[in-house]
Order: sequence, then structure tokens, then C-alpha cells
Amino acid sequence: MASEQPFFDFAPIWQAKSLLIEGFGIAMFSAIAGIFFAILLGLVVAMMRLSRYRVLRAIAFIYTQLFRGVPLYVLVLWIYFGLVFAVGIDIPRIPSGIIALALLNSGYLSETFRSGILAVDKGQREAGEALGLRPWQVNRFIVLPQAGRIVVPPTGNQFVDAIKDSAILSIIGVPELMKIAQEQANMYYRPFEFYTVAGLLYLVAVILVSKGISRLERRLARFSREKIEASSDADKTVSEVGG
Amino acid sequence: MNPTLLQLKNVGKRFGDHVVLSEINLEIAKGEVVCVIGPSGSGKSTLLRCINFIAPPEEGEVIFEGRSWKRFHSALNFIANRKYEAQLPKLRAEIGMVFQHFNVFPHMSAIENVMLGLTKVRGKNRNEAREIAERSLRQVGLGDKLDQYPEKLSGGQKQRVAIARALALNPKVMLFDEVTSALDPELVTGILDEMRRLASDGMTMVVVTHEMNFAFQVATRIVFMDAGRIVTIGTPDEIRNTTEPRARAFLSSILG
Amino acid sequence: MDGYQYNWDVVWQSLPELRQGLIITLQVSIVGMALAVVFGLLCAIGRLSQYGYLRKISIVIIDFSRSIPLFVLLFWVYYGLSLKFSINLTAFQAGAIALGITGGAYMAEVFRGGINAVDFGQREAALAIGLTQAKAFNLVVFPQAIRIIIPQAVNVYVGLLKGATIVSVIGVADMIYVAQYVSLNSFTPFEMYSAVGVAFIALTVSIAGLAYLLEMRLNRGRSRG
Ligand SMILES: Nc1ncnc2c1ncn2[C@@H]1O[C@H](COP(=O)(O)OP(=O)(O)OP(=O)(O)O)[C@@H](O)[C@H]1O
Ligand SMILES: [Mg+2]
Repeated sequence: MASEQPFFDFAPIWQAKSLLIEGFGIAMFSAIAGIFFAILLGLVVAMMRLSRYRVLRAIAFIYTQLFRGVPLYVLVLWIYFGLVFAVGIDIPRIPSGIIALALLNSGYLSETFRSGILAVDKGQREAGEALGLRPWQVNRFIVLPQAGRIVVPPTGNQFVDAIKDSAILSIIGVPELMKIAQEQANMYYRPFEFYTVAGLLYLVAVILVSKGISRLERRLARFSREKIEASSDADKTVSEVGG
Repeated sequence: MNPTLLQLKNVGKRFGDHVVLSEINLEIAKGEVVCVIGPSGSGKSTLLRCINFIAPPEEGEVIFEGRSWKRFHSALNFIANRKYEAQLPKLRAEIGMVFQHFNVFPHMSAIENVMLGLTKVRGKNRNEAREIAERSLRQVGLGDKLDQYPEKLSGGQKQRVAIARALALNPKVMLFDEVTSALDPELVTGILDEMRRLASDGMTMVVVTHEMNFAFQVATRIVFMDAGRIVTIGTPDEIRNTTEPRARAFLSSILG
Repeated sequence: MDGYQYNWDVVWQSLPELRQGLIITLQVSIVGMALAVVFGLLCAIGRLSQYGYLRKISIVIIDFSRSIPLFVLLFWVYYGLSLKFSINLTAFQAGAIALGITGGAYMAEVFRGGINAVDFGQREAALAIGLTQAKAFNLVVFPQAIRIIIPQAVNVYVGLLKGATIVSVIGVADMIYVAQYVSLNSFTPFEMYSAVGVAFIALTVSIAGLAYLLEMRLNRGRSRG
């Protein structure tokens, strides 16, 4: 009986392909939505950490410590099972997962954004102020565009982590790739095949996203070099005119 | 003329497709001080690194005390190359090297820096090594800084540690790669004096430098390099009066 | 919402079990970290090798291990590999192996980064006094790299510690397993998961604090030597 069973059998994968693809789509959707809200939250928290009000700074600090310290697994369970009982808000599976991903990643991203903003040369701010720009204009037109370039790579890495982390959402029944793989693996009794394929799908997603990020990074680097060259040309013209 | 100590025969070096040295032929006698000058990027540092195989040359050979050192370039010579690589530390132990950026070991005190080669290369016991290291550091005027860590030393002092570290192994030839260019101006003379002293003690030296006064005073011969080749070699007087156009242009640019 | 009665007593009552669970989490994560250090060091050596094919293989291994979610690795090792090849792995062993693979990829990069951060001139100077490649690495490069490596290794460990929580899904009786089990009977998931969350936050924050102190010490050690 056992001899009739092939050692490796990837045929069930083919039969379950549309389910797997759908699961893959839900995984990517959760990761993208999670990181999107994480960026918004992270920006707010970063601004709070750089605020001149001590209370805001303290709240933001605690926020980052909390969400950088808590494991995603615990956070997901807490939101999906814990909150219903205690507060009575019943959040469906997928939103629960997205909220967990957003909170967790916002803790890391707020730190990334903060250090990105701090990394912009102080002279840039001063130069902006010297031109007579208002504080918000200095932030909007001078500091944030430069900080943005600095934070692209770490934000990209965070996105990659979110893709990988999304597999954990299966524990609350989000029908994403890992959940589908589990169900199908049990149905066909082919865990090796299904988990291998699931792993490879995540691998492909992660590698494609990483490639995209490094390409973006290179483009931004080129862009900033051109800008510097252009501005030094402009300086020359001015001084020639002046001389 | 003293017997030849070191000879470079047709040495060539590239990094990828970039040819950095080609057809370098140079013979250095015992006790000679050869200064190497030339524009930035002409391959002076690489030349020194080829001598002790820190950057192994692809072409040609280095003959040191009559023994030839070269690398085989076919994959079939894999085993031969492993053997030759295993021998390299022996060659390097006979050749002292001092770097532009000192390269003292920051996690070791001055005396530990000097003792490292004595214990791990020469196999001396700690007491013996300590004694030699102390003498070596005293010679370069650091008798009172034995247990200081590099972070607490000035650039000039670090460079002295580096010189003592090389000299302690009793090398047969010393290589200096722009050893004063990273120093504050007031510290340069001290290091140059140290090198003068070495030269007058009869040490064989190959010195890459931009200090033309030093080169003209101390060198037995000066090598002018450009674009990875030796353009001209001569005594200080010959170089001073050279008619070779590139050497002329280079000299007038730095002598002003 | 008819006034939920918080029941924190359950947490206090299950404290011994929770503590037992925490110890298991720590054990899994420590064994996983040990595997990660070995695996990471091997990959880093391959990655820095002078032989092109070794470098390529190492890059592929690192990319694979880093790109596959820990959760998937865990299931792959525990249900996939061990069933397919009839290796009888306990849930604990499978968890440690999965953590070792994921952590190893990160450790490889930590080792590589630390070694590369040491000025190349240090190695050259060590070779120039006649040290062999191995001695130059052991006596000169690595002692300097380790200062950079240790704080980052602690960060990797914190990541593994948090990752270790998922081993409860394959039945390791860790803290979450206990929390799930208890709250099933007493309907107190909020209290139980809050307690577990707080425990983890306290743990990771204090490890991060220790890492910070360690880093300061290493840096001070540097100025002393
Ligand atoms: N490790 C390396 N990889 C690739 N190229 C290198 C390497 N080391 C040196 N080069 C190249 O070799 C050429 C010669 O370099 P080298 O450092 O020998 O010049 P140099 O004459 O010492 O210049 P300088 O006076 O600036 O020190 C340069 O074009 C340099 O870019
Ligand atoms: Mg040079």
C-alpha cells in the first residue's frame, strides 16, 4: 500500500493551486495594509518623540517600547480573543491581523523615522530658516524629503518582515497562505509538499520585494547626486555673475 | 656594490580588468634606500604590497635573498599555491612594513602591539618578547608609553609604535608607505628623523614618499612611477636633473 | 457590553504554570540561538571566503533562511521533514531548529558586518608582521569585530525569543500554551494574554537594556583598550 504512494507528490498542490494563490493574495494584502497603517502611525509617533512637550515624548517612548517588545503572536491573540471578552469589540479576523501587524511595525518604524529625521544635517534646517521659511515649511520642503530618502531601505526591510510575519495570522484563522497550506496539507496528508511550496512562495515574494527596494534605493541615490551636482552648477553661475 | 637583497622581475598586478602595475623591474642592494615617487594612483602603494605579497602580483616574481616567490595562475596549481601561501608568513616576517594610517592594533597596548609578532611569529616566550619590545619602543622614544593604548597616543606616537612593531622582528628590509602623510605637520620631522637614523644604521629601505627633501637627502636611488610603470630610476642628482618630461612635470608641480 | 468582570486572580493562580512555560520559552530560544551562532558563523565564513563558489552558496543559503517565515519553517521541519524522512523530532527540537535556521541567517550578517567593519589595514598589518591568515583573524580582526557583533547578537536573540512564542502551535508547553489552556477553561483570554504580553515586554526591554550597558562597557573597554 505504501509502495503505491509516490515519495514526493506535488499533484495535490496543483489541485489546490487556486486556493493557494488566493491565500497568497490575502497574505500580501495583509502585509501591505499592515505596513501602510504602520507608516502612518509610525510618522505620528516619531513626530511625538521629537516634540518639545515632555508628555508627548513620554507617551511615544512607551508606545515604541511596548510594541517593539511584544511578540506578534501574543498581540494577535490579545486583539482577536482578548479584546472581545474584555471590551466587547469583536474585530473580524483579517482586520485583527492587520491591526496587529500595523501596531507592531509602527513601533519599529517610528524609531526608523525618528533617526532618519535626526540624520538630516542640522545645517539644512538652519539654511531653511535663514531663507525665512516657517517651521512647518522647513519640515515639509527641506527636512522630510531628505529624511525620506534615508528611511526607504529600513522601511522596505520592515515590509519584508511584515510579509513573513503575516504567516502568523493563520493562528486566528485568517485564510492566508499558511492557513491554506495547513488545511490542504492535512487534507492530502502531504505536509512536506505543501509547506515547501508555501515557503517557496514567501521566498519569491520576499526576494522580489527586496530587489525592488534596492532598485528604488539606487534610483534615489542617483537622484540625490544629480541634485547636488545641479545645485553646485547653479552656485557657479551665481558666483560668475557676481564676479 | 653590496649584493642584491631584493629583486622584482617583470612584476605585474591587476584588480579585475584594471591593470595597476606592469613590467616592474627593480633590483635593490643590501643597505640601499630606494625612494618611490609619483602621482597619486600611479601604483606606489601597490608596488610595496606586491613585495610582501599582501597584494600578490599576477605576473612576474619577487626574489628575496635568492629565493623566488611567485604565484601560479592556473587552477591546476591549486595545491602548489596552497603550499606557497603557507610559506608567505616566513617572507613577510623578514620584511617590515609601515603604513600611512599606522594600522596599530587598537585592542592592544603599545607593548602588546610590538610583542604580538615576537610571540606569535618568532615564537619567543613572553618575558623575552617583552624585553625586546621594550627596547624597540625605547629606541623610537616611547619608553614611557609602553602600556598606553593607541587611543591615548598621538598620530606621531602611533606611527612610532608601528615602526617599533616592525623593527622588533629584526627585518632585513623595511617598506614605508607615505608614513608621514597622515600626520600633523609638526610631527612629520620626528618620524623622518627616525627613518634617517635607520638609514644611517644601514637598514635596507623602500620608501614611498612625497617628502622630496627627505628623498633627495637620504635616498641612494629614486624611482619615479606613473600609470603603473617605472618611468625612470636614478640617483637623487640624476632625478633632480632628469629630462624625462613626465618626471620633470611631476617634480616641478610638487617642488613649486 | 454589560460590565466585564476582570478576573486577574486567574493570572495569579496560574503563575507557577506560566513561569514553567516561560522557562521552556527561554530554553527553546537559547538552544535556537546556539544553533544560530554556529550556523551563522559557518555561513559568514563561506560568505567571506576567497572562493567564489563558496560565497555564492553561502549567499543562497542565507537568502533562503532569511526569506522563509519562521512559522513556515517550523511546520516544514516538524510536520514536513520529520514525517517525510521519519526523523523523530520532538516539538522542542523542531522549534529550536527552526529558530536556529532563521537566527543563523541574521547572525551570518551580523558576523559579516562586524568583521567587515574592522579596518582592512588591520588585517594587512597583521599579515605584514608575518602572522598566518588564521592568526591574523583570531588575534587581530576578530577581537575587534566582537565588540560590534555582541550587541547585535543580543538583538538577534531578542528576535528569537519573541519568535519562540510560536512553538506553542506545535504543542510545546510554553507560556502561550499555558495561557491558551487556562483561558479556555476560565474564559479570561484578555487577562492571560495581557499577562504574557507584559512578561515579554519586561523581558525584552530588560535584555535590550542589558545589551545597551554591555555596549557602553565594551566601548569604555575600548578606550581603556
Ligand atoms: N584593492 C584594490 N582594488 C581595486 N583597485 C585598487 C585596489 N588598490 C588599489 N587600486 C587601484 O590601483 C591604482 C593604484 O593604487 P595605489 O594605491 O597603488 O596608488 P598610489 O600610487 O599609492 O596612490 P597614492 O599616492 O594616492 O597613495 C589606483 O587606481 C587604485 O584605484
Ligand atoms: Mg598610496
